[in-house]
Amino acid sequence: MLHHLIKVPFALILLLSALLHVGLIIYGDWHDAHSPLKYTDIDYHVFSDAARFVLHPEKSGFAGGWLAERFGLQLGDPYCRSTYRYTPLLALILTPNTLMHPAWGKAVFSLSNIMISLQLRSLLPLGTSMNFVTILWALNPFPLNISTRGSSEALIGLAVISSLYFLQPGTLVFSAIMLGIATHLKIYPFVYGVAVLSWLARGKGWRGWISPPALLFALTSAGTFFALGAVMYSIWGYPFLEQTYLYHLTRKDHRHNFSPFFYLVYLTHGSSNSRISSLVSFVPQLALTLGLGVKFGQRNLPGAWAAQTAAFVLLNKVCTSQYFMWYLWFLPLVIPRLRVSRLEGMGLLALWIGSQAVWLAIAFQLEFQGQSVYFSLWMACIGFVISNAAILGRLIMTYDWDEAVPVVKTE
Amino acid sequence: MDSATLLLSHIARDIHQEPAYNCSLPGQGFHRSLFLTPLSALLPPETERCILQALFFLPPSVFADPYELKQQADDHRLGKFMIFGVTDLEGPVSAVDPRGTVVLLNLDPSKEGGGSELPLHMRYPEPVEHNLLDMYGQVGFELPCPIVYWACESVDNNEETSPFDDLTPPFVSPYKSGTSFYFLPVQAPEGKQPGNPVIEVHVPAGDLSHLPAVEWGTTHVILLAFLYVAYSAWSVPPRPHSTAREKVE
Repeated sequence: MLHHLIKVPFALILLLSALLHVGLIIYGDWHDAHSPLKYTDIDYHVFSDAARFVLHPEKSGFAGGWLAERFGLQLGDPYCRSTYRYTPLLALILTPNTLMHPAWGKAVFSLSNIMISLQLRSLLPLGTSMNFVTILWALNPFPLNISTRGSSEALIGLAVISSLYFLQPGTLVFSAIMLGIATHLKIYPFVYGVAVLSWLARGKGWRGWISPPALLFALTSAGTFFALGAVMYSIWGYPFLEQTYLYHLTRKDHRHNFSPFFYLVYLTHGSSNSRISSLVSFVPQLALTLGLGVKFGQRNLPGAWAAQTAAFVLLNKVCTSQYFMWYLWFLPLVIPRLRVSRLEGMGLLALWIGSQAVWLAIAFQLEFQGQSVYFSLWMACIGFVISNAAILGRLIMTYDWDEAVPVVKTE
Repeated sequence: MDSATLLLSHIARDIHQEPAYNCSLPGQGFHRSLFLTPLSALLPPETERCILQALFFLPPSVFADPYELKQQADDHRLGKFMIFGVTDLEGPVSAVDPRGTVVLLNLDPSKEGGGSELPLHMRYPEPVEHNLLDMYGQVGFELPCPIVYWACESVDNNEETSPFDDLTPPFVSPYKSGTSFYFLPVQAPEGKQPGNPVIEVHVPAGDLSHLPAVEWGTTHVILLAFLYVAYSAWSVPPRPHSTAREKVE
């Protein structure tokens, strides 16, 4: 269907996308000044505050790592900002928010969106219409909104898609570095490494997993991750480890979100039951995500990464709509290879949207109308998991994993 | 005795009979504003050296977001404020300081007659046994009405003790010795308990009788989802025999 749309030069599409981003950033600032309900995401203020604290150690306390203390580095503590649970790298990237203009971060995220568009177009299989990129990413309102509101997901997207973009002989090292950066930013991208190793080992049996390219990739990406971590730790110390990684690995979200675990955590908060549930979800989640990487990485990487991401999000103990971005950027590469009938495709999409709509309606009743609907909301979460499992299973079975044309860079 | 009650017991003799303010927490749900509405024009004893303030004693089940308040103060929709105690924006009731937090807010008599609207957020209450829930599946707690007063700098530095001095942490009196206070009575909704005005707040609570079903359901559905996706992946046939177009690394 997307093949039949007007052929507009991609440069024009990118220009339009850029203009839309700029327009929304400007609108966002105007809106925030004139309305109590803000356009800008709360997280953006969290990042900006953290960046300001880094620049003003007199307000936040000095960075506590051994290197910072040894050299008396004039860097502040971003973790002074409560709910800032990210790498200091993000605060550093956003320091121009304080030094230049508060909209700098939004501009960076928007630029990431544009760069992802460019890379996706390059990665499209030969003969695939670039309208897939246009509709699903460049002019898609969801990423447009997410980045111009100041949510940082696009940075992870840029690291991940760059890793895919550089996955060619000759630039393998850059691919590994980008994956290391992505993992530093958000942890979960490490699962893509398994798929890459499977890809590099294809046709060579188990020996392929320890062949030079595979070892180069594994060591470079792990090395990048640990090097970045070591630098951050040396400057900011234990709080960096705690907030960027440990918090996310042990977090217990008792407030409602798409995952059914919320109610289990809420009802058992503080009791020893919580430990059992950790194991119940973690082992299948990891096993499935890695297993998908091993089986499908050797056949089609974008498809494997998309499936891994969807499986990871599906079985995670917390799930918010922000997480959907994590597989959204794969869609232009994946949709052209789906062999579903239009009817089934529409049906799956309706199921995906419908299961969220039901959840949102009940969540509204709880949060804003104070109705005691915890159990109904939990049922909606169950419905969400079942729907998404059905959709993911179906898409895996109908995906063309072995399309003959190999992925090459165009232009 | 909680701080609000303690403070009120000190100042009982200072309060005029007529309530000067209404306090209310309209609406439902987890995000509401505490409204302080003046009932009559407020004349301070001596305008120049007095500021009008309100003290909100928040139990652990309610909190004010300091970043939200700062945003509102910057937008001039709220006066200057101070929060005593540690505000945890995410934790459940069981994980936060049981003494709660205290918000001290400057009121502006020239704007809205000295009223204010303080945005508040409820934490999920502790889940309870089914029989402890009311017919709406909610539990209740008491939110003391704010205590409103003029704080005036004294000309003479007499060492008067202030009624704030022996309140327990997290509130620590920020007032210099010699400051005098003129309390204005606040009236709870429906004028209940005039000596100790509180708002009865009801929030939906988790029902512990759901736990067996939720535990069973969650674990089984997650396992089912895992098994189905794993089966779908397993059922995809292996790749066809590699073609000559296979790229060689």
